[in-house]
Amino acid sequence: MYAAAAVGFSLVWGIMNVINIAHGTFIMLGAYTSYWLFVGPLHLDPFLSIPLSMLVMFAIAYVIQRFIINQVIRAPMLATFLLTFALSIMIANLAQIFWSSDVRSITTAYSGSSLAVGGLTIPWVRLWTLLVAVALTLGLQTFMTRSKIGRAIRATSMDVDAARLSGVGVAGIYALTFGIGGALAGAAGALASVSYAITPTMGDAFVVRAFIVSVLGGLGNVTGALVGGLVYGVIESFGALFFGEGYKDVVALAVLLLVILFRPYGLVGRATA
Amino acid sequence: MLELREVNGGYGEAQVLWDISMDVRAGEIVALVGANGAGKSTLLATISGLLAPSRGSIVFKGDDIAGWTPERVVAAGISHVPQSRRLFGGLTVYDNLLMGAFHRRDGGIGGDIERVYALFPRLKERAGQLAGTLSGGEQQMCAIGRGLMARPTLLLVDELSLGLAPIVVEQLLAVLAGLRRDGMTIVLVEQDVQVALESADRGYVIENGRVALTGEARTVLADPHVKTAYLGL
Repeated sequence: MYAAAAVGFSLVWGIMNVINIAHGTFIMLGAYTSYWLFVGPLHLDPFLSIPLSMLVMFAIAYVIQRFIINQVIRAPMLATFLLTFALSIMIANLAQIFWSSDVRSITTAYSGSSLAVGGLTIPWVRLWTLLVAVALTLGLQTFMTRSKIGRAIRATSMDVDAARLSGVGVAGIYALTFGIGGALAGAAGALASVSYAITPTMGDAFVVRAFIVSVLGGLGNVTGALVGGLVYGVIESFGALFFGEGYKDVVALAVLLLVILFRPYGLVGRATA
Repeated sequence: MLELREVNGGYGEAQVLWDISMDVRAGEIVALVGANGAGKSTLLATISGLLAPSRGSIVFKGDDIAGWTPERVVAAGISHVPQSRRLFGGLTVYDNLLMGAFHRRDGGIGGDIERVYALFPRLKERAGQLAGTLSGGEQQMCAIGRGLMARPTLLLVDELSLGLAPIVVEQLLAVLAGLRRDGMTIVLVEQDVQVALESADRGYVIENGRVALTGEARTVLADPHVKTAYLGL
């Protein structure tokens, strides 16, 4: 789950040098999209609504980048940081106005069932979540390395002016990157809708974790975000197990500190990257 | 082919270019020479659209391209090989070349890559290598190759010789001369006045953002002021 939340966040940070605080609210909107599709007449399973949720969030994120964030993209990082922070407050409050702050949840037929392997019980929902996260990461990785647009996105992140001289429309590339980040948040939201309570502020917890996971994995490193997410999940669970539920964040943040101290380029990154 | 008329420009409030007028005719090599900070690179960036001129016109093949975005300028046929190469260091040589053809929708890209490899066989050997790991000369080859991949009719080359060994510079100049024989028009910006003027048809000397002197390359090279100020003779 953390991996899914972090991949899009890490992409946007690494490529555009934008720390998108609103990423959490994008996840929240994705979760609501799945929720309304689930309770609506279609009664769509949250896992099946992932593509729709991604599409909706791609469009929203694309528009936000194109018309709002693009205005300050060349300003120092603090400007985009504050802007996305403001956006996140705005979006969360709008969600509260429209959908109230009631806690909602999705209960599917398979919600309680799990897979027993040896002495381990793995909830099906978690397993599917992991599979989707891996599939999305691999898909994104392939897109970034093999497609013409993916190549242009990476080139733009390396040298904006050289990319412009090569004929790349940078504003469009940024909007697309942000849109992809939004789509991944939409997918993460759909996944979260199955295992987490759906509220207008549910994104806050995710954006903090996405931040940590991105650093763990190495910035802009898409597979790194996946690995970081898995590592973080494990650390948090074991932290809760050994030190008690209240200390799990302490353990996770301590690990973050250690990573920054000793491997500032991330767990799977290289020093030169 | 390219006509600049009283172009003024620079970076925001800081004006660098003052009433620059310049002509480039099809098929010639024009050298822009001058000291560090004279405005040569600013002029190229203004032509290629990275900077917008505050006044004046830049007419390329009948269109006033002043203020166009770089994407449009590239598509119109002007390719700018920027100073210090500016390769995409984390991409392979091959991907850098492909990036040069980003705006193109035609099917000739594969063939053009082969043409670049024919010009610079070294790039073919290094095709799968990250551009950031190339030597200086190879990087310049890759940058020129990337510029050619846009299939330009006018090639702007900024500081070809900077940081390169004389023998490498000679090789690169020979390639440019070959391109010109095939019909390419080239604007060459250089701090090395001798190198630039010896390989050019005509020259412009830029001083403090103004055209100080212009004429046949041979005439400019023989000018007493140029001799004392730039060649130390």
